Amino acid sequence: MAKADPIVILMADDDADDREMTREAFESSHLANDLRFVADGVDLMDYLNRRGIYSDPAKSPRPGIILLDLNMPKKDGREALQEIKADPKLTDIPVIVLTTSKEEEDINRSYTLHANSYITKPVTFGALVNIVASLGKYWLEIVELPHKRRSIA
Amino acid sequence: MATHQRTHQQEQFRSMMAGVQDCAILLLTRDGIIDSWNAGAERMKGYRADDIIGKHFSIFYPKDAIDKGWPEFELKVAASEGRFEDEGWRVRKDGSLFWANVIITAWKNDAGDLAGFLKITRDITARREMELALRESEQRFRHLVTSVKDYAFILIDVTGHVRSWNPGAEHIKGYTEAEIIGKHFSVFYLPEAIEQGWPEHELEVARTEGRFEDEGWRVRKDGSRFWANVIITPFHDDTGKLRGFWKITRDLTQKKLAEEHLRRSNRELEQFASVAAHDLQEPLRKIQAFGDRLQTRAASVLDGQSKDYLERMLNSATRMRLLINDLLTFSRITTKAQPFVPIDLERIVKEVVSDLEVRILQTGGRVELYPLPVVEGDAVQMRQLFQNLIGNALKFRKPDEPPVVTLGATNLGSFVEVTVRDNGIGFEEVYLDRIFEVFQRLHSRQEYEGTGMGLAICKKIVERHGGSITAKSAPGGGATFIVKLPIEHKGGQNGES
Repeated sequence: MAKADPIVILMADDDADDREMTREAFESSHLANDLRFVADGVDLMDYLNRRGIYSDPAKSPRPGIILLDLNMPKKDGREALQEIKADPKLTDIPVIVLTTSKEEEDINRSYTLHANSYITKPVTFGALVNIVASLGKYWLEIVELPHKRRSIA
Repeated sequence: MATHQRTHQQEQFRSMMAGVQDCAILLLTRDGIIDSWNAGAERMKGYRADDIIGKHFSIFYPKDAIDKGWPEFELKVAASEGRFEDEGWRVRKDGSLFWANVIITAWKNDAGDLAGFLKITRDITARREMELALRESEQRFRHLVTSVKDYAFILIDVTGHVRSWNPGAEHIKGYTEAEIIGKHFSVFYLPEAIEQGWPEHELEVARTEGRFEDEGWRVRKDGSRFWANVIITPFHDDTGKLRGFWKITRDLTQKKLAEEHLRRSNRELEQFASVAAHDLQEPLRKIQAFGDRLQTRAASVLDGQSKDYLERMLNSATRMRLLINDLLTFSRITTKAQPFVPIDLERIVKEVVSDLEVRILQTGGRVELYPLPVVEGDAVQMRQLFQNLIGNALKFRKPDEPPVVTLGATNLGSFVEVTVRDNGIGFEEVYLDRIFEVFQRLHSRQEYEGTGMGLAICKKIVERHGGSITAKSAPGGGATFIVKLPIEHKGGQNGES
């Protein structure tokens, strides 16, 4: 049985430096995933719903995991999380909140809105590489992600 | 025969009258000369029969009454109308005054001519004093009720209809007395409250429990709302029967608006502070992140001095992040204050010690905990307080001596005194005030890390709880921090510092 295409990981983060660092961290961990980026909540929902510039499914392959920053302009991660989990077509995509905030309120609220996990962004690159490696091991090797028929993906 | 009988009757009558003690009963001639006396008259006015018979009855009157011709006038009225009654001052033999009720009746002889007068006098000085006292008390009450403009004093009858009003009620509720008397007091309530039967319920509680007090929205005549503090008390007559209710209403709209304003203010401040903290942290995070990558990436090409500069830069960024966090904590003592609940200080301290376990082990130190009481407070803030105090005790240890931190409490009645004692480096007491100030430090950064906020945070927390904090110390002799906290807070505790 041929292995499925590498899982698409969609990262929503308004900070260009953080996006770049995460990309480098994935490279360092030798994870061969298709890492895609959106810069804010509006962009994220357009991608997931295949609207506007994302109407071509080839440009917006369905992600297997979403990495979600909470503080973004136009529409923040909290709102986007609520929308994703309320949408029956999107609710089964695991959402990992990856944000600078360590506020108890943000942590609790994220889980209440059905985030799968919450990670506070580390400061050093080394720590980020470790986290990405752990994410890879857990979500992509250990865990079974929901299977989708090819036609939908 | 008849004359004899009548004379005998007259004699009997006279002797009866003579014996009466409580009234002065006198016979006067047509001209007002005193013709007879009795025991009551002697008792009341002080004269004996032989001193007074034959004198004019105006002797009993005060000088100004005589000058005005009162005695003669009274006789004239009695003669023409048959009867005169009055109340006024009379004079005793010793010159003292008493308040008298006097009835002068004309008596006619068989031929119908005026024969003389019967004067009956009662000393009602005591009764008059009571009446005056009562009137004065009523006047004082009325004065209080009418002059108080900020309180509505309303009397409602047992069925809930308004029976009396005062200027305060008009001021607060808008109705004039004429408009409101007789109406049911539920007209002051919101439609929803009336639907739910609140007015009747309040009277019922007042009736059964003796008092009802509440705060809530009420409606003015013009339909506008105000926030009222209402007390309803029943009153009963002497037989214990319910006569009605007193309703005292205060308009606390200003206070409520002020409270809401403060709450909103705190919310805005909190939002501002957390956004500011986040946005200020952002560039620091970048400095740390890229600085860290630079350290790794350029390790081979940087000389020792350059690496040192880089290290210092990164340390400063870290320090600034800690400072921003501390400032946020400081501001949140008021903006994120929780209402006071009973908390077990011993349990809080045990949790703090558990959090600090690593540090305690690293320093080879120990914490000795004696019993601590339960006080009313904010658990999160109490935790912060002890975390800072115990953390400091561990931090400022002597370099060659494992730190020992001792916590204990003394009961001072309504307050409790908690002490945190350490065996560390201590400080000069001359700096006692400084150490509790924001950003104040006694040591350079190289010697001891820290933001200079720890004790300022402790002080703010303690003061928000209505307590105080101070310390005793000597250089090289450790330090004892003394926190005084009230055990209970009755009212006035919701984050207003």
